[in-house]
Amino acid sequence: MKSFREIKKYYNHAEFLNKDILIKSNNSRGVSVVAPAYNEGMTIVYNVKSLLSQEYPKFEIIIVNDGSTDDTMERLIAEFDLVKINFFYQQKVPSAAIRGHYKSTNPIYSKLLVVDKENAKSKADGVNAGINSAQYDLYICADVDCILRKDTIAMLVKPFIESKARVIAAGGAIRLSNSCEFREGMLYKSHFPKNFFARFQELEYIRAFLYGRMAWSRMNGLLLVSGALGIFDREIVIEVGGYKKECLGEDMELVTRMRKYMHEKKEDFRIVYLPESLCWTEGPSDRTIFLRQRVRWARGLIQSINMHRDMMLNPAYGITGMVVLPYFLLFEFAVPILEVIGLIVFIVDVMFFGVNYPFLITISVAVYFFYAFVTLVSVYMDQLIYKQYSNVKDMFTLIAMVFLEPILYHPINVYASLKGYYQFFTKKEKKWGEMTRQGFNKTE
Amino acid sequence: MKQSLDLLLWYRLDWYVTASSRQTQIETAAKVYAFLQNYFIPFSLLFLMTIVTIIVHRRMNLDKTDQRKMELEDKTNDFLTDVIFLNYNHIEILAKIDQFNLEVVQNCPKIRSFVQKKILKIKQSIKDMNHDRIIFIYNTFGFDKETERMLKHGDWADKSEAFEHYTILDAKHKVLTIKPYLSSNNDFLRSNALIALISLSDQNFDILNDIDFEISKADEIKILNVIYEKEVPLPSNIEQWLMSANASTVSIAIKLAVRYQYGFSAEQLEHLLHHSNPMIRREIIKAIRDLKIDEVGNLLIELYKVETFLKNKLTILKTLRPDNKGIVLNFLKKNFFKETNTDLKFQLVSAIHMFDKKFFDQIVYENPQEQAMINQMLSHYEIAA
Repeated sequence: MKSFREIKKYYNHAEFLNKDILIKSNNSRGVSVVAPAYNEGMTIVYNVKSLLSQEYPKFEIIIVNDGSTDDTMERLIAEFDLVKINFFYQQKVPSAAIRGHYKSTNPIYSKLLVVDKENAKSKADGVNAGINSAQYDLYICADVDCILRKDTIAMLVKPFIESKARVIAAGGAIRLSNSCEFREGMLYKSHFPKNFFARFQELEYIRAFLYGRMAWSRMNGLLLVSGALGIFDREIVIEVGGYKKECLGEDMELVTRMRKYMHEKKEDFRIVYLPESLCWTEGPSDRTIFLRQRVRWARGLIQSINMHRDMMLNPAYGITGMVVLPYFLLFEFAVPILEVIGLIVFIVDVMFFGVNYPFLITISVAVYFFYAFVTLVSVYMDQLIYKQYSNVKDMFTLIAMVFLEPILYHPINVYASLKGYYQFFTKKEKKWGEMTRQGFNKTE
Repeated sequence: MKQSLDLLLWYRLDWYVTASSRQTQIETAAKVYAFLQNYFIPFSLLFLMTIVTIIVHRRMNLDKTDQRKMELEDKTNDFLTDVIFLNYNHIEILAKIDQFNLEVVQNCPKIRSFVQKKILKIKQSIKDMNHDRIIFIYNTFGFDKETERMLKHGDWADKSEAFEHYTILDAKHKVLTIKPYLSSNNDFLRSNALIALISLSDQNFDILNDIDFEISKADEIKILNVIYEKEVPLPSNIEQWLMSANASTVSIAIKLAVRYQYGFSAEQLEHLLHHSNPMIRREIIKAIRDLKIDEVGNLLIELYKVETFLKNKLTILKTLRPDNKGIVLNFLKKNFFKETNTDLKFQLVSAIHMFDKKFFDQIVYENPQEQAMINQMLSHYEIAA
């Protein structure tokens, strides 16, 4: 209900500050778009051109070449006529050593700044270097492989201008680009992914962004602004020390720290979510990469909760301490563990004590139906708002996925979560891993 | 083995409950089971089937709906182009509208709303068109009554939309109707009323004289957009606005002054540079820079000495320009040696470099780190130059 009301409120207020006015205005706030890149040689030129085509009067694109071992840097230099410049780099937040800053000799690319740095085995470190190099008060953290809508910057800046309370971060909905068609860096046609993992992830994203995050946004309880696309108040991020490279869930951890800082300052603030599909990103399409991603997320989750356990149930931290963190502990962290415990208890009962099968089946069916209902409502809201998929077959596939998810996909997620927790508790070395890129499906 | 397991069960069950509580639990479980079986599951199944049907039906009909929308759009475009741009008299227009209502609209509220929006869009998009004709067509359809109904009986979103209609239709006679909403407790309604009144105002924009509430940043951007789009001369009230007690009005006035290349008087500059609101001080410093106002070095230096906001100090340093007497340069050099804040130091380097490129050649630093930092700052600006 909360998410529905927040979405309705958003669309009622959509014309309050029309983004076209922001795009024309000289008084818009400047935005730095920070996109770390590691071994993105295959798609980097295409992606940077897409970022540069944003419709907004005052922005810069900062590509952080995070110690790539492929030809990412060479391609950038060749395509954008980059030369190394002297740049007064202030290390306001920690980052690895910078090799150099590059700007284009071609005035068309005057908004582009490339930062070449040593790899610190962490995306967080790359973003920190971008924050240090940024000139504007707001920065957007984006994955370099994301395709952004042309008006993404304008849409994300709006809450910072419209809100009476200080907005310290905002995010938008992220969709999967797997199987979508793109032309000239823009989404042309949206298709439901064909890949097994991508299909379920698409469903997951629909439910998470429309249901979960909009409800949290309404309560001002957002603890996660996705690292793939989020806009932040640079001053606050610097005050709290930037991203921590030792965190695997650096986006969630940063937002938690920002919330903590604002609560301690006793200053009114908001973190906002926009129910707009602003970003398309390539999701992992094979099991190894998918599991690696989910293990990392699970590990990041428990890491963040552990690092900020002093806020848990602490009234000094308002809704963050009293509602949000306990929710994440009980319903995000604990649930996979409880599921496995439940399964073990079930097996033991079957073997030794007996089970009331009718009761068990009834409960299971009730839970399954409830889950399906919640997910289908999100799918319906998604169709109402976005009219997403270009053919009917995609719709049928999506609905089928809804019913298959608890059986096929959910157990994999539970396994990945438990693996992540295990790695956290046994202090296994953190690794981001590499993402194998397919590239975007460009039409002729 | 079985004995130990039985013991385990006994402990498991009796750890928490007494025998009577156990009975209550069993009864509760039975009730839950009955509820799930008889109500929850059947209703859930019904909801699921309904929602799947709605989703599929909606998607399957989407292509047909889109096709119908396109046809409606084409018919409406053809009709409106016909009645607006061709030389029909009122009687002929009335006949055309009747025919259109009969053949296309057919009393369907959604189609009526669509046509209303189309007319407004045309009025908004195309300048230099027959204003009276559009109003005549709009009123003949009864859309004026629709707008009035939205204003009188609608919620804040409907009222705001009504304001927008009046703005697009340039309904100046509605100013008195909209004005009371400036006192509304609803922020959005108040904001939309203000923008509507600015739009409907004459080129003096007198409405800004009397605003006593804070105008948000969003509204400021919208107000400036409205004024710029009207392409009118600089409003004659600008002097009054610059001295207003309302900081929001002052901020708008300063931005307008920059846009229109207004010549600030010395008294105005002094007043604004000493304004109690740091945002106003920053705006006027930026205005001095944008308008390249000379002979204010002393004022800026005096302000720098007492200014507490870092951003304002940085803006002052970016704004300082060379003067004949060298007062500004001496001030910069003095502060360069005392300043410890890196951001300010960086800006001081930039400012001094602009005034005297050889200054830093003459300085020797005891601290090699500071030397390296200054060299890096300088090389940053040398390439920029």
